[in-house]
Amino acid sequence: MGALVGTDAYLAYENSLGGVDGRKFKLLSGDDQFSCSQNQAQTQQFLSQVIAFVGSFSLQDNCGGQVLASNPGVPNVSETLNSSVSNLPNTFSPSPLVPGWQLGPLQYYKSHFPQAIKHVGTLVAGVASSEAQAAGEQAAMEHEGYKIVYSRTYGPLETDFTADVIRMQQSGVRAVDLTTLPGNLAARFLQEAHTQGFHPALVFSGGPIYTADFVTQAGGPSVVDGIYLNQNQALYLGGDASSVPSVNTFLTWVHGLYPGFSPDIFTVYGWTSAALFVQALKQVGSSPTRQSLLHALGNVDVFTADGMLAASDPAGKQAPSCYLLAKIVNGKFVRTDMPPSGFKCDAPYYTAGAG
Amino acid sequence: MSAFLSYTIVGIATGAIYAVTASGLVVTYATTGVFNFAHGAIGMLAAFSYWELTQNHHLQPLLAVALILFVGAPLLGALIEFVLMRRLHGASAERSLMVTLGLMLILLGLASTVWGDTPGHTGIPAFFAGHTVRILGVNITVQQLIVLGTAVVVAGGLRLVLKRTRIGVAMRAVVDDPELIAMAGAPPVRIARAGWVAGVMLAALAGVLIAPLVTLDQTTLTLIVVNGYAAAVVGRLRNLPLTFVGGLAIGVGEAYVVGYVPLNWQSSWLPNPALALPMAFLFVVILVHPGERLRAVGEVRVSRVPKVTELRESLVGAGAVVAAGVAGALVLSGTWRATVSQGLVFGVIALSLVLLTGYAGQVSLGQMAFVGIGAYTMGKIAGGGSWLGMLTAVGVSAAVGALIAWPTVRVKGIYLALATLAFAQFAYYVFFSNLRLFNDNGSIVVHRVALPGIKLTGANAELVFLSVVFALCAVAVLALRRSTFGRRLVALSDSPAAYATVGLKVRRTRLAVFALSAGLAGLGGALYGGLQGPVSANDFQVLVSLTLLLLLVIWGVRTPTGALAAGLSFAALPVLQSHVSWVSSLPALVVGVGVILVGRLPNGVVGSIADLVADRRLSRSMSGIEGTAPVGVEGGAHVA
Repeated sequence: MGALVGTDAYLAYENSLGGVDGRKFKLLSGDDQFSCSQNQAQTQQFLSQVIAFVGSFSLQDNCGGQVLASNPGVPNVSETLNSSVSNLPNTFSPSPLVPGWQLGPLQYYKSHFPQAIKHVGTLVAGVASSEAQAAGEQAAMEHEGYKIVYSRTYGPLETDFTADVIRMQQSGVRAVDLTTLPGNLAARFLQEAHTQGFHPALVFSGGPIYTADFVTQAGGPSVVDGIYLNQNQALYLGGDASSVPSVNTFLTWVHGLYPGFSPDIFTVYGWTSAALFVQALKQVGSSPTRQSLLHALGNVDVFTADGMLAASDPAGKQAPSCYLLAKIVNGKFVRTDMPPSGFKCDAPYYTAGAG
Repeated sequence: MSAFLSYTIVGIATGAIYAVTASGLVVTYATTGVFNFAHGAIGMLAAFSYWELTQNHHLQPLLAVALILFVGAPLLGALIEFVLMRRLHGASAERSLMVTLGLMLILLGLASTVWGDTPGHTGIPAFFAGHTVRILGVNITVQQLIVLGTAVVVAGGLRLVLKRTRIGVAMRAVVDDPELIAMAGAPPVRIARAGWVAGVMLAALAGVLIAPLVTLDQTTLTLIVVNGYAAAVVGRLRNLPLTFVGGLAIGVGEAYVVGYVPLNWQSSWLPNPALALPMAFLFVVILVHPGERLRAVGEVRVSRVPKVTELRESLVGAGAVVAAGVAGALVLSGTWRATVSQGLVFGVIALSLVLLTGYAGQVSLGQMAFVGIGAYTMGKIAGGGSWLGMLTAVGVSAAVGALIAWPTVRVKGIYLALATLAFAQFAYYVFFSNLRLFNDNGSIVVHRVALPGIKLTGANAELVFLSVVFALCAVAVLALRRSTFGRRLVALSDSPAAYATVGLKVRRTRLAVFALSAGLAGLGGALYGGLQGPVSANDFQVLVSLTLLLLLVIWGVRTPTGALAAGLSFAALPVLQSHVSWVSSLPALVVGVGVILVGRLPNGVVGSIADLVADRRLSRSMSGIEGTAPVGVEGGAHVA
């Protein structure tokens, strides 16, 4: 839902400005219901109806990716999870996926929690994309001297992590990485850890926990205060509204179009994908074709979505090395050891398998 | 040792959830005679209603609970009894099962349309949030204690009510013989209604209590009760204290699995052991003490079996399918061409259910597991697209089918359905979700079958090829129906006890039909994989199996025409959904409503139309002749 909201909101925003060359955008959407075949069938279905796929997001994107691979002339401007889709010549992501991880946040944790990082516990969703993400992150962690003493892959419908908490305690875990857990499950884990009196020195996660409901879901500030968040996006829930104008635009259009909807990272994926698409389309001129759009996308080597994202290279398929670090203080996400706006770029991106 | 005790306590807290859900199931079964597959969905509806009242309308939690338990649940229970269940008295377990599955899909569809995923974002606060009690080194929340206490009270209290009170005895008795109860002066309808009201209230209570402890989404809450099935079967669907013990055993087992199974096993060859455990437990419990053995007693009802199709007719029908396939290839394009191709593949899979359920009367709730095995085998053999791979897919699926059928041969009715469900869920968690096996980002790539000397490139050729395959399979299924084996299947369906009494081998026939059916499903899997390219675990979910089975029931479970209609409509519903934005689960709603409306027709829509046509022909040919007995009913007796 989030990706659709973000894409729709951005295109509505552009339409409100008159569209591109006087032409308005029309968004067609489908829901694959987590089904590989549905994802593929719907990609096939839309193939002849759209100029480009924009803002798609699915755990099953490798399935539709087969269709895109056999139709290299159709642009796909979406945040992808699957590296083979990400590498397709017709696919451009606002924050390209590269197996590996940003070293900046890992080095920060290492310098502030030198002992805790020797005893890391983590839970990984039993989904291919999450496992791939976790593998890249764990390779980067090991590169930095982290030691993972507990890592369990959990399955669908699992929502009770108390036994994991106990086993982590037994294993001497002192730092917990919740990066691949969805926000609601991360909140549940933290609630159960809190109930059992398990308070690791370091808990960190990524974008999925940055939601309006996370603190409430976890049981309040006393449970989540001190948790670190590192991500490639600005504090789009409002924390950066005063310093990043595009955050205001984002919130205005999302709330205007979908009253009551709480934006999440997927909403930002949709918004920034649409922004990348429109940016390229504006370069094409008054007679856009798929070919000319692909050409324009191939020239976008720096993209920030007007400050919403850390700079990435969609054309070169390079992940951003810059990051934003925040911490939960009194139940609110606040920048930590960061400038008041923008991102920190103090370490490279670690590419798994590249040494 | 302290860790062991800790896991035990954690497991008991989890097990209490299963116990409380399973107890509701048992009470419903004991007082209505129906195994309510919609039990979890009713609990889910109650949980979402509770969320709506407390989070959106800011009602006091206790007032909200009271409204749900004492107003909403009784009304829903009475409605279910009046609209759905009253006409099911004396029906086979299979028919009741279909109706409750239909109800489950309707409730899932409604909740999904009304609430979407919004409640999942905020969740439901626990009662006495933040308060805990320390037991043997583990902190247990008050909410968990409430669930545990409820499970104890339900197990003990309701046992007393059902065994020792007049109303309890009447509620149990009305299941067996309402007429006898009526003769004794008790109102059977009112008593049956009371049973449904009690069952729905317990489901609602479980839903409201459990919701703060799990993720608040429709599927999770609906399917969490599946883990409770094993507990209910431990109690033979009748014994509440044993059900309670079964629930705790499953919960404790899960905690031990998370606590002690080596982590590298879980990330390699044994994924999701904690989720697979209840399914393995359910399967084993059913085998160890099957609750329903072969019985000769029962109400004999005559249901009309569709006329057996002659060879000439089946060839004409097959020719029509192929001709329609060729016409489709010429006329259709894009989405609809792909949809028809997909529909033909699902038609082949539905044919496997015609054999198993339509002819032999064996209900399988997990047919997509065999489809998945077929697709996987096809993908792994000889490059993923050879005729050798297709044959192997059929063989491997048939072998697994026989393997599953072997221990379940003594089991029938609801227990057989549960055993197939357990197998399918187990396969989903351990096999299809195994990223080492489905190692292309959680999927496996299957290619279109390459037949020697035949070029099958392009969507048009594929559509024609699939129509030919469906036609051949349908002709083969009908030929099998005409054979001695086919007549044996129908006899087995009518009365296994009678079948055994005349010296026929129940085990051998069941094994054979399970293997044939699984093999055909495996063929469907090979074709499905070839059509889709990549396939993944979610393609073989139990909900997919259930939806296809219900569509087959709607169209006609005893005819290949019904299978074709079921396959095509199964493929078409998601496409229709993409044109309907105001309802978010159109397929679930259509199938659920359809099975409830049409489910009373034993031969489905297609069979009923055929019956109507046959009746008209008969009445025309009989006009003017008096005293002639009706003909055209073959193997008419059906033990319900």
